[in-house]
Amino acid sequence: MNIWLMLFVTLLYLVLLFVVAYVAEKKQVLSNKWSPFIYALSIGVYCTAWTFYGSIGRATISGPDFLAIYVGPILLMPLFWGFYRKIIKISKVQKITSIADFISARYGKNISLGALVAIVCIVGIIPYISLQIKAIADSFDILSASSNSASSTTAIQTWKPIIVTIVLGFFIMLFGTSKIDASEKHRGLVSAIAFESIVKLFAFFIGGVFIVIYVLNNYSSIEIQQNPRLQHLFTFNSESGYLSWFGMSILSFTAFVFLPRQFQLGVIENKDDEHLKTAIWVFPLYLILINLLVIPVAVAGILFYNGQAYNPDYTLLSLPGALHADSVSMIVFLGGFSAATGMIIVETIALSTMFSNNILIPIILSVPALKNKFFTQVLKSIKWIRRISILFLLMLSYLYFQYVAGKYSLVSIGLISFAAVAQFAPSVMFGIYWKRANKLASLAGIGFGISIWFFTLVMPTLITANLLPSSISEFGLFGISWLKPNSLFGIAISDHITHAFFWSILMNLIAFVSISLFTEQSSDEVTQAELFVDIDQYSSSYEQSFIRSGNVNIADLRSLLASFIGEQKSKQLYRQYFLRNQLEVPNDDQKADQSVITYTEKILSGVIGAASARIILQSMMKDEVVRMNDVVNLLKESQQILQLNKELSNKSSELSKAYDALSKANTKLKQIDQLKDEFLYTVTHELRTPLTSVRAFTEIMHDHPDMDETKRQEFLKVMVGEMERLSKLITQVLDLEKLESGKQVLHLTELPAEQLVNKIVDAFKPSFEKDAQSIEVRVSTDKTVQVDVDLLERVFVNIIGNAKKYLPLENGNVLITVSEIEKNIQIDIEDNGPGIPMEQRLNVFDKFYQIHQSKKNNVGGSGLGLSICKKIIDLHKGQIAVEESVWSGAKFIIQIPLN
Amino acid sequence: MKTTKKILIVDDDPNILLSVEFLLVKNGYNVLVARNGMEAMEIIEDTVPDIVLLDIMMPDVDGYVICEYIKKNERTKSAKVIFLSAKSREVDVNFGYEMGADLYMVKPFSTRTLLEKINVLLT
Amino acid sequence: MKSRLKFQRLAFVCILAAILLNFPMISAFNRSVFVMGLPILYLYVLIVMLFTVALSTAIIIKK
Repeated sequence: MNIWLMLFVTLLYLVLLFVVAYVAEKKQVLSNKWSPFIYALSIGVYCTAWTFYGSIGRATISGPDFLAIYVGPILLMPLFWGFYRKIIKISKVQKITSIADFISARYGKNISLGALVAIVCIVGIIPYISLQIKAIADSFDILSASSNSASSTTAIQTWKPIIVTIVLGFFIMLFGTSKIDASEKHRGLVSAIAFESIVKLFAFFIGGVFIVIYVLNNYSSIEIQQNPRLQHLFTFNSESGYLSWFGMSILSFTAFVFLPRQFQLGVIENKDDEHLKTAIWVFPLYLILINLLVIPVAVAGILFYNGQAYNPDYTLLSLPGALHADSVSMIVFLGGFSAATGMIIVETIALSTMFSNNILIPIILSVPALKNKFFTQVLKSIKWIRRISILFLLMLSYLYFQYVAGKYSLVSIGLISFAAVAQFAPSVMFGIYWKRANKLASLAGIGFGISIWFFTLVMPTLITANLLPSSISEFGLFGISWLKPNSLFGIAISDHITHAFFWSILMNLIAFVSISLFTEQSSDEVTQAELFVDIDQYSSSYEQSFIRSGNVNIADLRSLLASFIGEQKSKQLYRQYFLRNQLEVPNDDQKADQSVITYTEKILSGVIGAASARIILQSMMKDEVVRMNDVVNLLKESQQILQLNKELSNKSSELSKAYDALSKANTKLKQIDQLKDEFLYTVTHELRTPLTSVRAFTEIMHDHPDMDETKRQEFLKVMVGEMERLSKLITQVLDLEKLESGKQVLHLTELPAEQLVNKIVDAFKPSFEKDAQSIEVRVSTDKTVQVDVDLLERVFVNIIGNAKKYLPLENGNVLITVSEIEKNIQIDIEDNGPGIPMEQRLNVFDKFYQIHQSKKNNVGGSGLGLSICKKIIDLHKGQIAVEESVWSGAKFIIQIPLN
Repeated sequence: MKTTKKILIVDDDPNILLSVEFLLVKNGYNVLVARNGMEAMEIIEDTVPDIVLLDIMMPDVDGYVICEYIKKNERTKSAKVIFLSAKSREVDVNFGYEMGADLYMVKPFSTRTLLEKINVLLT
Repeated sequence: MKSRLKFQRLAFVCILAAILLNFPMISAFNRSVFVMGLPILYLYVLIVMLFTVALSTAIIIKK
């Protein structure tokens, strides 16, 4: 095949990919119906060149065990809706950007843990990427060699992998870094990958079907079934086979969850967890389909080459070529190319995100000189850091390919990568269900696990490549025999992969569980553990929270947060927020926009609970009295969280601050709630009391028609009195409402104060005289006031009426003085009654306040009278107070400003 | 012949005392009346009523305290306590029962229902 | 509580599949026998996989 043609076609394919991604990015409406399928297919990135080419190679050599790596994902499917969904939920709420982010976030947002995970991923996956490059290079070679044209220049051939790598690099940079926020969806990317999945399946089928028809058909079934060279294809090697099979299925299970590309597409790019329902059947079907023709092709290969040496990995490609079906082999080549590039693209993006977020940026931030420079150009910096990371990682992969990968089969390198990411399993799986799992445990677990991984899997490759002495594998590390890479502790477990996996996971688990049980957590870890394990409690309120942005500036938000988590932490978090989202760090006095507010709320939720956070922020925005429900929730959650804090940690100053702030918020809200409650409650209570007697009397009189007439009269009299009391109360409540709500309009007239007072007093005189009590007025000013006469009359009637109620029956006196004091008319109403105790003198004007003797005399007031008086006086911009009179009674003082 | 049952009414609202006393007497009960907590305690010291109709909000000692006293004391715990109160919230009612009340009736109540319940409690 | 049951059932399916797809169950089919021209081992694995997927989907979709 003409090399230029091949190059052209591959380039064309990449452009097509680009177009698909671009269109998908723009036309977001289109995807909705198909989204679940796109998602399911994008997970198909699990099938790389390993699946496309390597499976056939493995099948050719060792039969069925190529299927082992698909058993894991299939076993995962029932659990997809369970823990995987939980991981997705958590990642959405916490805005997780990668597996390193996830683990770091779970264990207190710890930086060193994030860096460790990132390093493990990079070290573990670079070989895997390089094997994709190898596949591309090899397939290119085979395709060009299969043609008869000798015009293939070796120069192009050696340069091809580099060219491809570079071109891919550009493509990745274009699509990986255009979206600023790493936790946002890359819709274009996902669609492109789904497209690639279709291409590889399609290509595999075309190649497979072709081979079946043109090669396999030439042989009868009996021939095939009885051919000795084919026997091993149909059954397991039963000695060590089962353990390997088992080991690989578990390995593929964890890999399917934790491989960076799988985590990226399966968790982070997931738009809606309902899509999982589709993926559960679409993806396995895909797996089954793409593996259906592996054995037939492997059989065909063995039969066709009939003992000649050939590279079994590339059977699918070489057979059509050998049969001169150039178009078929071209298609197969594209399929393999698509499988490889899909993997490279997603892994590189995922790894570069981890590299920049969890390694580079923390390093930059820790060097003060760099830090300042960094902050002044945040926006540009991030993008370039990401791009450099991508190129750097691709270059590493290429180098690995050049110098190491050549010697190994595709499958064995892949399994080494699987074993690396499997080390994350304890940290994540325990992390989402066990609150006690802590950071130290994770660090130790992953640390131990990856060390053993390195020792048992990577070192042997280094030894074989002569980078390390072979004495290590023969005699053990430092000559200690039970430290042999292939048989730790003297136990050789089947193949080295299973062996490595077993020991690494065992040590990982032991370290993890024991440290979690025997050490304590910091407060950060505790909160994060809560948020992760109990995601269901927090996620819904989080999603529903939507605080309208009001007039709050960044500084306010920051200090709000600071009062809960400390000044430094608050600043740090906001910085991280702006960093992660690649926004310019705004000035302190700039208004905070929606996303910052939501972010603040999210952080706050981590400290005091979602409900509390929402309310506190809302009240900051609106300055409004909160609803009862919110208060109840606030109190409940506050209680719980206060409890949690108290139980779990020592009081650091940050915690005390949070506690104080929360208590204050609690008290204030309780008070507001109480006031509302009390008013409503008291009104209804006051209404019930007269109603009770009225009802009782009515029923009694109805049920006892033969009652004594005098008794009946007595009852009726009481009832009438109670009903009057009731209607008076209702009237007063309505008055009070009118006064308080501002609906009351003042009808002002100007008249001498004297006249005002005298009118009332005259009305009272008869009743006073009847009881041998006196009421007297002394006036010392003739100034006029502008008042609403009706309302003021009510005030006097009330006060004088009250006075009369408690006046001693003999020698009761009420004295009213009208004078002018400092631009006010002052009216004093004194009596020689029992007076009002000093501590109650302010309270008497409160609603429903009664000094409890009233009931005894059955002279009950409602307690609202004085409140009404006060409201009326307030409306007149005056003052009212009560003191002790010269006769030790009560002295009400009313002041009304002169015009 | 059944012995006359003694019912003690405690309420600071004289109207309640008036009406309920009349009602109960008409229905053949022996009625004792207390206008506040202190009076109630004095009466209970003297005789243990069969039923106590207890208001809760009273100026000196509130009904809860009295109920608790009645129920915790060997001598008096045979007395059945019925709370008669305008406090109508669920928390209030629950609290009342927690104090040991045999019944909690919210004011305004029906006198007929009251009679029925008293009847039930006395059998 | 209903979703609790779902999870339990799904966990069961997973474990069942794991058992079916491993020793000793799988060794029963580890013979050079052909059903309809297809090696029985692969047929078995295929059927178990399809079965697992179908059952899981059914459990999840059911209200």
